[in-house]
Amino acid sequence: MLFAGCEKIFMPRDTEATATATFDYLWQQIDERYSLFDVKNVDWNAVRDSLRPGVYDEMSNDSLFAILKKMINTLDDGHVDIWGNYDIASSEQIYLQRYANSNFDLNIVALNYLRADHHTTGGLVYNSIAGGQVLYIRYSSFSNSASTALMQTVINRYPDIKGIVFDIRQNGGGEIQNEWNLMALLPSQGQLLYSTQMKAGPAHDDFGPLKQVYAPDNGDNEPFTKPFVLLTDRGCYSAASSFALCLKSYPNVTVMGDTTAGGLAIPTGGALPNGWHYRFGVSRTIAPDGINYEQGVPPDQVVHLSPAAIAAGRDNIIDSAATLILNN
Amino acid sequence: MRHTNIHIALLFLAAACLWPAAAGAQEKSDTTELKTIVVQHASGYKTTSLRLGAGAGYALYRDMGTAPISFKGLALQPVVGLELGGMRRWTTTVDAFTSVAILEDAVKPKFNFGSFGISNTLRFKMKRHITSLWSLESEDKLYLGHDDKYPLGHKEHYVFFSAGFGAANFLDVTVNPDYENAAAGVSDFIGPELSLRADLYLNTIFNSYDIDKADKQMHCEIGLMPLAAVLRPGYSYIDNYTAAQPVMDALFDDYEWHIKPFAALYTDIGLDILTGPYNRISISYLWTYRSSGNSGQWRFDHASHLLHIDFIVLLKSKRSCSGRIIKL
Repeated sequence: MLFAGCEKIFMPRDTEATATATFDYLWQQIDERYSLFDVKNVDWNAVRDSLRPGVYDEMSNDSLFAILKKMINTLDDGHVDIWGNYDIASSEQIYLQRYANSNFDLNIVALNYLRADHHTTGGLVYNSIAGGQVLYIRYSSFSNSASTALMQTVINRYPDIKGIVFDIRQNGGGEIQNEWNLMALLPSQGQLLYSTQMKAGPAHDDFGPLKQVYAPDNGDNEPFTKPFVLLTDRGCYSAASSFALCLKSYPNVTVMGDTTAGGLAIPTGGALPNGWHYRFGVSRTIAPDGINYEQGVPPDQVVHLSPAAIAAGRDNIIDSAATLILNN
Repeated sequence: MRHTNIHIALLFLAAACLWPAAAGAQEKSDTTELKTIVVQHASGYKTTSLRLGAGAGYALYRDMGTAPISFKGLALQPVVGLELGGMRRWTTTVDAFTSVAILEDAVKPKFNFGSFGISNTLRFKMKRHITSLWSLESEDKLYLGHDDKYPLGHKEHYVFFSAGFGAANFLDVTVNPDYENAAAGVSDFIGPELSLRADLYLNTIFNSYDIDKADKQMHCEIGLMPLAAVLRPGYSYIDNYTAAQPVMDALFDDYEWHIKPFAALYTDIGLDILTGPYNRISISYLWTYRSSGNSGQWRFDHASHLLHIDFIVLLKSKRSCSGRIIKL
């Protein structure tokens, strides 16, 4: 028998690729491994009880996809997604707040702040504003390259500026490493940035040890100690939210704009029994004040884009940031 | 089905070798006469041989940490090893197998070339002859060298049984980009191994008294890992990349070791063609299976079915005792 090489003797069979098995698997995975039930205030058993009766093995893929989408939408979490070969289901709430509450107008920024003579270094697009006294840097995605050396190059180009406006509005996140790369040029005092822990068991409150994360050393880099204003809005998610949370611990940084969309947890991923894919968060992040800002990191100064400014071709958030720097 | 067919084909191959051999033995039984056997079968040498070869077949991976479905695909497995043998009391081998498999999941219609598994096996084994069957039918026993348990006299049938022990390490890496942060998973099994092996010397049936023509032998081996230390991703499967700077410092932080009895099993059945005193070509069907056991996301299973062709080439030999000339 063994020489027939039959691993089937030892291996349980794969979960069947049925609609009911797929629903049950996703519900259970989220129930046992999702890390944010305490901040989402969702009765996950009630979600199952309301949706499970509508699932049957003969249903179409479209119908099953719609029900799974309803399931994950109860969490209002941009890190909880499912996708198959033909569709992606993400949080509708995160989508709506990103675009309905946007505090960003790309045309105004491009025409009146970055202007045609802007520079691009890696993922950083920049130009001087306020009569050359302030450096405006647009960073649209943490997936774009932003090494410490690139940032240093940008700063070195403007030795006489009085401060930096760093704009991450509508930045949906990306590589965590880019956060550390950028922070390496801000003055480190070894301050606590946040604490984090991973889901470690099936109960909703089963977590592993809490790990403290401190400001990265500046190393050989000359820290930028002048005023630094970070612009945020409801389109800032994941790494962008995390960056905003971290920068609130730096003494020369002011976070300005709107509350971010959150998404501080890191998502794991995998496949469902029917081959569709999923992801959801499995960690939680606690700010130095003891709060989990998973639903959004609030700014130090709330400033919304005003219709009057837009009509005048101005971004009053950038202008406010520049004024803050010049008045420092 | 594929692996069963390979196995049946090998059995037919073995039968094809045995059938004329048995017939030949029957014819020669009446013509047996005393003759001089010059025993210089290089048996008095300690040898060091190089093993080079490759296998092809199919591999299966199932990592319950990311999906309750199997991934299967074409696997290629080169092997390199060293064998210390000859007239040593123990035959010692060190082999490194690395297989690369392009995988498809159980519910997708075609291969996803971004999805693959890499498995590395490092095996140290010492084996020793323990007994023989049907080995001596005359009173003229021919013992050679210092090991009187190595009879090399004239026989009708000739089966060696060997027992071995050693240690092995199995490292499995699965990659599936669709799983995003969980795209790569590592599993490692390390522990002692026990094995039993039977070698059937087919030539003795052809030419009962001409041991210099010992040019074909079948082998059949089974081995298991009675106890293993198994490294697997932790409960959340991914490492907490938000807890380290640089993020790569978090690699394997959330992995866990567990102890698992009977974690791995292999069988090896095949044909060795001796092309010189200590050179041979080994054609074998190799089945391996390992499992981290348990249930839930902890469980990982890997199986492979490979048809191997390996070349064992003498690198150097050292004469340790003389052969003898015996008149029968």
